[in-house]
Amino acid sequence: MLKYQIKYFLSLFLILFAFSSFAYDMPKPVGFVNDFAHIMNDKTIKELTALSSELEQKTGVELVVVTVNSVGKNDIFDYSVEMFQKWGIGKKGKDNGILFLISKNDRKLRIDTGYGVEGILPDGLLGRIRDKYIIPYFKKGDYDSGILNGSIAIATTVAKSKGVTLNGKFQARRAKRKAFSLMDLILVIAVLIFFVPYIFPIIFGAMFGSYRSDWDNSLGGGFGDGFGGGFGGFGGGSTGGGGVGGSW
Amino acid sequence: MKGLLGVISVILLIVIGVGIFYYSSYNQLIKINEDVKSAWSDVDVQLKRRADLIPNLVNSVKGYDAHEKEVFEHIADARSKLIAAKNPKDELKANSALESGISRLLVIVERYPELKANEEFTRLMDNLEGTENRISVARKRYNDVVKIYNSTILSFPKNIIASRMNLKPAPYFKITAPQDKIPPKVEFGNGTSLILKGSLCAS
Repeated sequence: MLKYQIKYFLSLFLILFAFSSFAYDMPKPVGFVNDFAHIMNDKTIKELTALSSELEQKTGVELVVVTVNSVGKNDIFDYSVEMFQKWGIGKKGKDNGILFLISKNDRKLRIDTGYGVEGILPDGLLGRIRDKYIIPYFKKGDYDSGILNGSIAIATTVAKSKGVTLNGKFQARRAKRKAFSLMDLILVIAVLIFFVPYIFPIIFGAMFGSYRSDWDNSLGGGFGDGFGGGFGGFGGGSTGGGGVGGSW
Repeated sequence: MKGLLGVISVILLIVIGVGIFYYSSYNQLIKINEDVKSAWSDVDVQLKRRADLIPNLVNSVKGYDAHEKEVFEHIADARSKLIAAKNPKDELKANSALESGISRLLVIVERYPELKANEEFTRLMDNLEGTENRISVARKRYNDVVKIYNSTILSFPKNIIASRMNLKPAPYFKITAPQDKIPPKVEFGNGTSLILKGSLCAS
């Protein structure tokens, strides 16, 4: 009798287990930046978090970056829409969320937009940002620069359209075609020859004087503990499936 | 005397019970009917949006291959039917024709690598693919509410109330022509590709 009961509960347990594995294996958000694939360095994560925080504070738009190792057998579009809906990115009613998803092993990306930002970030514009600021870096294996510059381009586009400026000195940079060209070398040598007489005193002065860089405060000031103890979640917005995909 | 009172009160209770049921069912049917209309409106917006992109697409291809008149005419005809459609059923029919036309057009595009490499054309393709994705999402959401609506108005006993309210089943957004079942896929140099998701799934 007991053996029969054990078998019954075991099969019930297995059935439940099987059903749960049908759903997407969706991680939970930890903040604006979710580097589950661990392809970004800490500096990039910090800058990105500051960027998204400032964008959200000034415009209400929620820009969320997620890296995963793989989306499994799923289509990355379906996966990204599912994640967008589950996480509720963007403010409810306003639907002003943006999801930038990078799947490392699949070498695919998606940038999904909610209805509320589709007007500011139409597919053609996102495609241009993707081709100019993201894919060239990804092809070189530089995820940090690709994700950062792409996000900056997206955020500054949104900020500009809403008439606000982001103070964190954010500037999207295009990938250089070559790391260093002959022209660059000549330029550097010329500059050095010209400036050497002036540089020496400054260098020696810095060693003894109190030379302060104000770059320490430009990024992340005041955002330090934003997601300290457990993330509260996003605004509950949704997407209509807009945005672009890409691969490298 | 007591017996008669008992019978009357039972009948009264039954009548009140049925009344409450009728009242709440009526409200529910109104709500799900509105859900279907709203979900259809989302689909309609995306279908019209795609229809707007079509002339640009056709013109780009005409620039490279003006001979495929039959395809161009088929598309123009389907497109005008879609825009003029007065109800979901007609619009879905026109959409099916339009999608088969777009498939054939994309087959033509495959023959011209210079066209595929053109930056403006790539932008157009990004927009078109984005619209296809939106249609796919809107279609799924629409079919989900249609399922609820249709099964509610067709099952007993609400079907009685539904037919008194003159509610008819809504059409599912699915492909009708078998040749549309295979989705064409166009690969572009920069890693994007266009898949006609609209013609992929049945119901």
